[in-house]
Amino acid sequence: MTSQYNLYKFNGIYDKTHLDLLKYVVIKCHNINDTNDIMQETYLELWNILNKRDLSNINIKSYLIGIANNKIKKHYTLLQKLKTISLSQTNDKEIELIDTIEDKMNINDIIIKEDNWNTVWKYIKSKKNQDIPKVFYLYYKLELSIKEISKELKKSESYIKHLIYRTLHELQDNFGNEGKYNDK
Amino acid sequence: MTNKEKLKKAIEQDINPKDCYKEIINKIEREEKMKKKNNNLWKWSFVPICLVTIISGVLLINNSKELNPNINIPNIETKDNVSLYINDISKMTQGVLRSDTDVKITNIENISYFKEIAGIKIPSDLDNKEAHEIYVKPDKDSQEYNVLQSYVVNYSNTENNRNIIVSFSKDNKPIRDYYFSEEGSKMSKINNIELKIFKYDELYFTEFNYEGINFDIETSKITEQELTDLLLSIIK
Repeated sequence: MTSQYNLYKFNGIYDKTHLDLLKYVVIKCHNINDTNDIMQETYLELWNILNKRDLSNINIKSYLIGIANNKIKKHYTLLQKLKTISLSQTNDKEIELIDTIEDKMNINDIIIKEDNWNTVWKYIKSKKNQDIPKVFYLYYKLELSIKEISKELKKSESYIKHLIYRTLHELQDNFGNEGKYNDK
Repeated sequence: MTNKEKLKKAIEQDINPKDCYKEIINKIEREEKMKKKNNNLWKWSFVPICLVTIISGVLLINNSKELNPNINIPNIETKDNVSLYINDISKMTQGVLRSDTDVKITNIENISYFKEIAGIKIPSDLDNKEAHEIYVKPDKDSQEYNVLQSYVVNYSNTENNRNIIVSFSKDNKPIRDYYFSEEGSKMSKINNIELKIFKYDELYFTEFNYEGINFDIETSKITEQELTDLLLSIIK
């Protein structure tokens, strides 16, 4: 029963922690496409530790976040980090100055074919500025407010708003009725 | 469905904790298999080294005196009421057999008194005790785990990873996630009750029926003497 017992403990920890850890990894990773890999690496490490020592007296969420942090560090080489930062770094104030996009646009106003939404998400994920898929994940999947996202990502609210509305416009242009990705 | 919900669904399909969990479990299983393979590889590479050592030893002994015929002493302990034979799995052909059974394990918060294991002799350092109930589905198509399959009591020492897991049930054979091949295995006898004891690395495993109760015992890092004491405290 040893491995079955450990699996039982592992399942309990996974159930309790995976949503918080997923949010943490999404926020901290450099590319949202790496989320699943980092999650898997983190829980595999936990499994190995669980087989060696008892973790019942520790704060398991903090412990997992510690493992995830190390995995994130290892996942990206310095060169990758520099590339990501240089490509996506944006000046919040600059955005506010150049941004003339009306911020009342609603995602439900865009007309996109039903079976195109997976492609839409792929398009969002492929953005060079990886803050965009992160913001979309936090806003549309976890339904956090702009204020909460701003706090989590340590960016200004106007920057978050800008990313959402600018990307919604892009989606309308590219996937709407006349869009180049529109699958007619 | 609104666009917001459609996008949410697309995100969930892509970053999906259920798929992630499945992938983790697959990787764990692959890693466990690899570990076993590597252990076997190491064992096989160990064989020539042992052979060389044995041959050298034999030559050395032959030079001084005749070869002692009892080099391979079987792992048998015999007393009046105890006759133990430890079946070493690493030396058997089939080894460990995996079994995937769908179960639900619940914690018993207040560990109740189990008359089946009253007076059980557990090493004093295993001071951590947890009890669980194992539930299974009544049939394959059922969604609910509502059939009590067995009870499990786990005694452990968190410092040194020693533990004893005692599973028992009156109506069922307790479930385990792997079995040892019985091919070529030999019986032990304790107080006239026959049972098979298996060993794999630091693990002992045995199952037997005593007074109508099916027992399944697995130990980790427990000595042969401690195992004997434990069995004698159940099979009285």
